[in-house]
Amino acid sequence: MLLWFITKFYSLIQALHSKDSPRQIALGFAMGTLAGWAPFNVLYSGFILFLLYMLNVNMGFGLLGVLIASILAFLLDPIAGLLGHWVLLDVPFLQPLWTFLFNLPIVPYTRFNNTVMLGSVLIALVLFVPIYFGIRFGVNRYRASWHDKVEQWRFVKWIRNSRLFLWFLHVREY
Amino acid sequence: MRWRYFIPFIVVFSGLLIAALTIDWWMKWTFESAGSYAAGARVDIERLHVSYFPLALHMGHLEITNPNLPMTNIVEIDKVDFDLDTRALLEKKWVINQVALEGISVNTPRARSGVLAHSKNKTPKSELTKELEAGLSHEWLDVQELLPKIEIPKAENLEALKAYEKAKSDLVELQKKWADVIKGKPFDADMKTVQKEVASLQETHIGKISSPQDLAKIQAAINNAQAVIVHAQALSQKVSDQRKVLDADMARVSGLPGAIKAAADRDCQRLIARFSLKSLPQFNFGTAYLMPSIQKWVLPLTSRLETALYYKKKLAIPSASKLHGRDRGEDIFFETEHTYPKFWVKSVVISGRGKQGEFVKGSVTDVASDQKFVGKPMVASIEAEHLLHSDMKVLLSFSHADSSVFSLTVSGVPLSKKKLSGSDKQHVDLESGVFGFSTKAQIMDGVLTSDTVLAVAPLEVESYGFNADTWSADSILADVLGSIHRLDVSLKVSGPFKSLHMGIETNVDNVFKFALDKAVQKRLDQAKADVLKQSDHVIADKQKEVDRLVVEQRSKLGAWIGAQQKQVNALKLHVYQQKNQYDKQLKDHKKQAKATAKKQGKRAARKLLKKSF
Repeated sequence: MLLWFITKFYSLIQALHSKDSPRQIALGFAMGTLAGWAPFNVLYSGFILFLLYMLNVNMGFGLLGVLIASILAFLLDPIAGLLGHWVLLDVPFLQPLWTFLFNLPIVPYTRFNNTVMLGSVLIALVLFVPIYFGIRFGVNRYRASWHDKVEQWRFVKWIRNSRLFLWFLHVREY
Repeated sequence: MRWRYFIPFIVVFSGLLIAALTIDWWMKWTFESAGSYAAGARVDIERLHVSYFPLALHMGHLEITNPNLPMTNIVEIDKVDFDLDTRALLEKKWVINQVALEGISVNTPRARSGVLAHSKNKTPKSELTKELEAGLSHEWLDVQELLPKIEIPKAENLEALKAYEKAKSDLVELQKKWADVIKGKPFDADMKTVQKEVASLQETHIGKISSPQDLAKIQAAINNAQAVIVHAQALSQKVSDQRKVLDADMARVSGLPGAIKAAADRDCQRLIARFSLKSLPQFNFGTAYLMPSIQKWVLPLTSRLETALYYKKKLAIPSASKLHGRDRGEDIFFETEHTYPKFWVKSVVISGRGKQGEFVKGSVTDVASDQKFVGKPMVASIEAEHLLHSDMKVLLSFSHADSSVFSLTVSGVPLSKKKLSGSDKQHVDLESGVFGFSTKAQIMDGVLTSDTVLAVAPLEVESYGFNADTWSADSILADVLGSIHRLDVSLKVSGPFKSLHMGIETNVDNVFKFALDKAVQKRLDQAKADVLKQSDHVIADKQKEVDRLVVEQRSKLGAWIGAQQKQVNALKLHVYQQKNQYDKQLKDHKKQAKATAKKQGKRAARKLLKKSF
């Protein structure tokens, strides 16, 4: 478990140092937050994670986005609830849409008719763009200013040179 | 696209495919595991099959173990079928076309123990659990403790009994008095005197009346006879006076039963007052006698619920949703194009038979989370019969739409034999009896209205050993219970759930009053019959004796008086005849004297006249 965390942490650093473009990293993180903001739902969260797998985005930052957004979602739940309530009940022109979706097969299993669920998704969608651009800006700044310094960290060097880590990378290739 | 990531998905889908093919096995395992966890003992399913077209679940031979009796099943069902609506399921609606539960039987023996392997390592009970369990103890009303509270007056305190004892002593006193009177022969002396006088009157011999002195003798005899008559009349007056005393005593005896009845009526009122339910707040006839077995189950449950609610409020235990990490939000439901509620069981059919021949069958239709989509009320109907007790039937019906209407009728339930009271000398056994109840309840807009009628009939009471004291509390109670043929208790509950109003209408009070009245009246009648029997016997005997004596004496006296009167009259006649003869002789002598005087002169006439006298 410890090894997994270490390798994941290193993979984040490695991603920042890899050939992945800032766009891929930022898109992965933003997509992760889409899944993280909302309460877990098999269909919705599964679909987002499926996209993370299928699209050419950075998986490590995607999972980091899920983790961070899930933690912060506790704070946003009351706002999400109010927003979802307002959107579901107090916006007249959307009523036909919700009714239509409610009557579709399978769609109700997404729990879109739940106030917190819909509010969280809407917040996630709204925050998606600033998060994407923010992360992309951050990665660019990192690569310009911090890249060489981090490479010199004793911890990074220790991990990179450890036999266990090399074995893990070797196994992962297969 | 990173196509190599398809490999995990292929693996996942292959797993899903295998799972679909082996769904029968893992569904069986899931049901057994979840059921065992919920029941706290083994749940066994002999076979399970899931069919997809149409989507249905078939279970064969379901056994649920009684956690307290590992070798016994709480329930065993031969066949369980679920028929689901697939299209509704895609719309996140659970629509079950039919649930069939066939061959339900309860308390059946198991082939192997149903104890769960991990159940031995139970977690210790929390303080709250212990406190809750400690709070469940329920004090049962004990008949032995209850009887003293009824406060039936002791026999020695009954006015009727005192009146009865007084009447008995009065009768004995009067009996003794009249026995003494008769033994003393109060008229014998007078009677003998009269007899002597009459005898001496009879012996009076006047003889030949030949002179005026003889007339005086006749006059004296008449005077004597009149004196005897006066004496006889005085004796008759004495007898009449004594008869008046006897009549007064008889009137006194005749009033005794009335006095006893008046006292008994007062006793009856006192007894009825003792038995009044208003004066016995702790006395619950049903609790004490009628439904011990039902109460054994129902009261702890209600007590458990009340205690749990109390502690939840007291300890401010938050609801489960508040303990959850994230706000669960609120589900908003929109109009649906289909007439599907969120949950809808169209039909549940059950049938079962017990070990002792109990038979139950029933159906529940249209159980839905929102009845307006169904368009008709939910209706449940269960009918149960007991073959050994063919009179016992249970009919349960329930319908629910905008309002819920419950109806439960239980009839012909046999009562178990119960020892009501016991000691070395006295026993009262409630031998058997039946009871039934019918309840109807309606819930509309959160307001409950219910009417329950409980009827008990008849209570067959076997009592023995009461001969020692017919006025004992147990004896009266046994008679009261024995004469009750039907008790009705109508329980009306109405109002919102937070403030229910309850009212009871019952004929228990009247039935008790009537039965008690009857029981006491029975004893009073017996007491009166005893008194009357004794008094009638004594009075009749004495009256007969006195009447015979009076008639006899009067008859004798009358005969004597008549005979003497006859003799006196004969004497009078004789006297008058003698007198007439004498007058005729005197007239002849006077005529002869006048003729002689005319012939011989005055001197000869005077001599003749002197000679004539």
